[in-house]
Amino acid sequence: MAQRISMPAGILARTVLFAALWWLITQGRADAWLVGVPAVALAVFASERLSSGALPRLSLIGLFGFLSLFLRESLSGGIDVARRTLEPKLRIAPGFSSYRLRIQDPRARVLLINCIGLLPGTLAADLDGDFAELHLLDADNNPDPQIRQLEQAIARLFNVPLETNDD
Amino acid sequence: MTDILASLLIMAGLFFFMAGSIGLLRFPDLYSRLHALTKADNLGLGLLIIGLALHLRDPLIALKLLLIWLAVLAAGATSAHLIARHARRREKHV
Amino acid sequence: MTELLAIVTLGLMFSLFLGLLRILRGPGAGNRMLAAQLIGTTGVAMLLLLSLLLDQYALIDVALILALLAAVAAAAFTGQQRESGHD
Repeated sequence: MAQRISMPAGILARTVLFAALWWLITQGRADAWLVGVPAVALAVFASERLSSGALPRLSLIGLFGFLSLFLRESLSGGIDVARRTLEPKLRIAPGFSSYRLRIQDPRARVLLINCIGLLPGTLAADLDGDFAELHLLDADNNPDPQIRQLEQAIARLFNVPLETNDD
Repeated sequence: MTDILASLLIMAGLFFFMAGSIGLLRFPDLYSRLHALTKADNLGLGLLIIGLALHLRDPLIALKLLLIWLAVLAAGATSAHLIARHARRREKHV
Repeated sequence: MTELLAIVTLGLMFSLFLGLLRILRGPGAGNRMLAAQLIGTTGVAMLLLLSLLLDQYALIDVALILALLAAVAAAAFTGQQRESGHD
């Protein structure tokens, strides 16, 4: 039932989104809408088929917090890896570790798994149930606090709760 | 003044691309090379795009460049994870 | 600015060459997939610089396509490997 109610709203939101993208890609050229209208219609149809229902309700404040954390972390991730590659003596100690995900929403999980690869020194190598297997550039550093921070920011972005029972 | 800043950003971009490639040469295994390539190249492209946007001073093109960076970012982060997962599962199954 | 853009484009070409050198030696399909990623990001950067250098703004669209194809390539690679590898 809930899905049926949200369907038209989902289609409207998708149409607005893809039309805005098309407008941006064609830099606002009027004659491009000849191709654009069918293209947007097809894109709405395809995305509706792939994942129907409403788009996730993102929080605007959450988005701001996520973006600023993401930009800061990917900047320091890039600087960190560049320093490690350019130092005369290679200072890496690769290894694996495991991280238990607190976030349940599947879309939020996909975002988290992909963003982990842009944090300094971490890369998500696999996901097994609630556990993400991480590859670490420097296994002497505990990566959990920085991932926890990102996970919290993503939970706020998607307006979803974090599992709180700590182990 | 903006052009000086733009030039600095574009050169910083090149620096990170170079660092990524040197990481590819020096790092000992596939996973570590993925770190170098993904993080350095994505940052390099980001800096370069900000530099170009400052130089062009056209908000519409700047938005389009931002869209390109987002696409590369999503592609890079996803492929790094997929390549690592592929290698990891193969290791475990052998 | 034009000189700088030209020099940076050449620098990116050199960086691409360095990376490819390693990748083509590296064993396994995973290592070769790195080449696709490297060509994707460096290629996008070079196309953007060239679009300014040559005053051809259509090259920005080519860069966008290259960026989108890079995402599809990795997904296709791992999907296809799983089908042929383990089953």
